[in-house]
Amino acid sequence: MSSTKIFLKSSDDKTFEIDETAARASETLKNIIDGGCLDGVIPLPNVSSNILPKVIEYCKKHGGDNGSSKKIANGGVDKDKEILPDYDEEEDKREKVRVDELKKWEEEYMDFDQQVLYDLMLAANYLHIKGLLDLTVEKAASMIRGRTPDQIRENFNINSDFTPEEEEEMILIEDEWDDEWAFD
Amino acid sequence: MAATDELLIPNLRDDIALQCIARVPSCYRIHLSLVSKSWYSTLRSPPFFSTRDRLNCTHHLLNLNMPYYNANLDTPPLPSSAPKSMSSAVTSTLSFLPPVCIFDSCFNKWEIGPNMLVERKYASAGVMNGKIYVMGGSARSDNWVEVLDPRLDLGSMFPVPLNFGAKIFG
Repeated sequence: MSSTKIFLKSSDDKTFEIDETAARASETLKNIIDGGCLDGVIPLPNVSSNILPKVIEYCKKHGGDNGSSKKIANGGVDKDKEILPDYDEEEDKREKVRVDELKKWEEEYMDFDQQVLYDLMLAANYLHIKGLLDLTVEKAASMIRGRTPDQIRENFNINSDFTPEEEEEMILIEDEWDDEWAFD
Repeated sequence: MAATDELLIPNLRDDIALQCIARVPSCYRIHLSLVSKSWYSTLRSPPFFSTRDRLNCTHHLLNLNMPYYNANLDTPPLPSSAPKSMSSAVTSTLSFLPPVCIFDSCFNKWEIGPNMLVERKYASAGVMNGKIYVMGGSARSDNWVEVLDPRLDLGSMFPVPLNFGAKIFG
């Protein structure tokens, strides 16, 4: 694949450079490139210059490397992989090292504050970068999963608009619903 | 309770927030409902269930209710009448007497489905690719197996006979 440079312009008029291979990690950019509508710079009115470098960093890591990210999504196991007669154990080990390295990279990559998380989710959604959207949405979901209502409100700065009476009533209603959720 | 115009998560667009919430397994739903009024109403809204569906966060469940066998599930009692309402069945449960009863876990209630093709006793059933297969339990060799697709609207949902059963199962 060629390493043509693509230029992206943020909402605040700053221009960033990215390899075409990396840009293809985004469905939106891929369609623009394949559609032949490339006219020098691609404007991204929904992505600011604070976030765009972060998005480009992700694309650089994942552009043209969908295999490994898929393995991470499957918990490190590639379910589609068939064991062929010339199955190479060494190659499999090297692949595992690559996947581990990518997981470590993702951990470091995801170390940012909450506003960046929100902005990245929006950018990933807008640019259709599924891997980045999954990664960021999952991080937000982990701040909800297994938390008490108070902890959830605190994590996301949400004000409770229930009166104490309503809250009590809600708990009763939820108790009635409770049984069926045990199976889901 | 009136729905509010509040964002689910401050500073985050609701369609994105919905994706975050939909990824949380529904066993935590009690906690989620108590967060705010907008969370409460969202957890009961069709967009919430369709987002869960799209993200593949749902599970199918087949529950056999037969005269001799009572599955250990605390669903509400089977309906005597047919409540008509929007169906977004995440979980489907099948009763083995015509008509088929569909349990809508989004709204915790039963709906009356189509009649089965034949009466069956001690039948077997299973789910494959989202369709419910019911086998045996009937003296007739035709309609030995019938198939129901619970993803269809109640109006267009009919059991379909599958006539290879006798060959496979003797």
